Amino acid sequence: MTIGEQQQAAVATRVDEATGTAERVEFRGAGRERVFSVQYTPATEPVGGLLVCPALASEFTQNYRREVLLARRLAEMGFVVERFHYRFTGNSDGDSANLTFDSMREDAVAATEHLRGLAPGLPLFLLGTRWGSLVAASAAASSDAGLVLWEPELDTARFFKDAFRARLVYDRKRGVEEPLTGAQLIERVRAGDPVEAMGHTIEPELFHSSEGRTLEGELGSTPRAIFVLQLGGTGVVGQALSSQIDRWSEAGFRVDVETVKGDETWWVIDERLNDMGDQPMTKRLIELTSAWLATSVGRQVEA
Amino acid sequence: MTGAAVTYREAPVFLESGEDSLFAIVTVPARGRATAGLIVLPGGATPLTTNRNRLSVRICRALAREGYAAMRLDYHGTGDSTGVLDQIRLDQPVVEDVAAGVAYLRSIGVERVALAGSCYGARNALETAAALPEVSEVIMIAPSTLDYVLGERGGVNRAKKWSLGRYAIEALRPRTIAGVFSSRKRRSYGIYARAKMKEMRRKLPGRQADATGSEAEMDASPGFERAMRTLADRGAPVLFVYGGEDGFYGEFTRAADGRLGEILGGSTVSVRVLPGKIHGFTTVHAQDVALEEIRGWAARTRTDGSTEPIGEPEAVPALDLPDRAAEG
Repeated sequence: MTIGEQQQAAVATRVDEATGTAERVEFRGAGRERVFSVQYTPATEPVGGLLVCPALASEFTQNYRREVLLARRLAEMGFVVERFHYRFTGNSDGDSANLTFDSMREDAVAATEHLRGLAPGLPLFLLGTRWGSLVAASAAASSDAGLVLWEPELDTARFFKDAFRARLVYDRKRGVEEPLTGAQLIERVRAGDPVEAMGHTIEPELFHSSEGRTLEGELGSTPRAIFVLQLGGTGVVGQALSSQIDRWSEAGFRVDVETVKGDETWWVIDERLNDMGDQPMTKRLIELTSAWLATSVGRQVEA
Repeated sequence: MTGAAVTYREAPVFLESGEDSLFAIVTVPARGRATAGLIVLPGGATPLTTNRNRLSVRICRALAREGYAAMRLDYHGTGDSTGVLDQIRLDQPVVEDVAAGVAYLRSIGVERVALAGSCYGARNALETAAALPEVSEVIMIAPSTLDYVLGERGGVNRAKKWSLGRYAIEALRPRTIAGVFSSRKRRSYGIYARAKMKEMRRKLPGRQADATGSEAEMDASPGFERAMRTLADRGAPVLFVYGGEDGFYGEFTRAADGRLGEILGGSTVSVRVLPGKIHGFTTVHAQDVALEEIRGWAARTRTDGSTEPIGEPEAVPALDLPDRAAEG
């Protein structure tokens, strides 16, 4: 491993000695709202590009290492990959209270343009997990980019419902008398008060800017290739997602679907499940995603 | 943040630790050079530079506002670092990783480096401070005084409390049986079963007395004690922060009644016990408490009593970032 002349600027780089792939980490932009970004470039001529739109809050944490490992794997296969943290989240600049759905879409669109510059003329894809799938769909809508969706949220309401349900369970577990229900919490945030869920703050700006948004509505009607991966113990795609896939297929989208067995507790960080990337579910997710992307750009997947 | 002045500069860095490249972010004041700094070390459940709800980000930026350098890093095998971390074990701290962070801060002119960690991060802070005399002090938030493998604490505690009969009753509950079809539950059952087997083996006649008596259950782990004694001998300040409802606080008080108590009696150790639960930072309140404790540490370390930031207003030697104050 070699570490570049990184200390001279707000950029860090490393080149993997074994694969020749490079990673460049930077705070992109100027002023008070810089975006934390990581780009992965292959040692060989690029074959395509992938932008990773992260999830939010607890789901962001749970999926983090998977996204890093996927990016490294794809760079080995010839893809240029970009990961980033939305402004007002993660390591990016800004106060969480200013986060909106529109700011996330702006960041994803800007990152897509940046990625397009790194992989000019090559097929582009966006990957979103959970909430990130809504952002990825919204950012991809104006282009023909393909989509990879890991356990997608079909609408924003589901995210808030899951967050508040997790809070309710946690409150009951720790003996809170008369904990607030999901409906009460929704009313509270709708009225303009921040609401807490599992140590994360759900801000009114985020709620209002995203209320009523759906995956289908954000993506629009331009047919494209979509790869859906659903996690779960049953190995069966849920009914709502299945209906969505049917509608896309009828509209001329090319949709491939896989299920990955395994449990993920998105809102309850369980030490027993801590995934350092070595879980079979993570390996399978990366394997299936890499294979689908490689096939999409007409490449054989190398072991 | 609109309208507010920029109060920090940040740079990502890769650090070498053995075969691995560790990812870290260094935060420094918007202007000038910091001569005192702190490394934030996350717990095992959220091993990321951000920590839960950006807690580490907020801590680092708050410290930079007050004139300090701060660093948040990903242990090897986590976050944006390379490598594999097979298991998070409290008895196997990643000293080499934290030492790489310390060396980096010192390379940019930080003369006094403190370490602050929660849970697993606290144990990493403690062991690294014991190994490196250049670490000036340690803040440990909700550390365990015993040695666990991450995720096995519940199993170990039940193994101590539950009889074999209780295990049989629990195993025959319909919910437990239904759980056999869940990989997550099966993994938990395995942890519980292994913990009970280990506990039973530990109590077999002829096993070493030091591991079976109530005294052993009361004391801190040998590694914890050893590291604490090293710091006490060196006179390095150590601050413990617990929530009164933290499970680890009970362990700590029992250990303090034993051999650890002799070490804690020194003048360099202080203990803060706050209401509620802090471990895991599962509430915003717990996060705010941690942030305030660390800011309090920063204020107390200003030995000259001035309100000016620690450090001299001169160029940063290695972290050559442009001043950001003009942007504000």
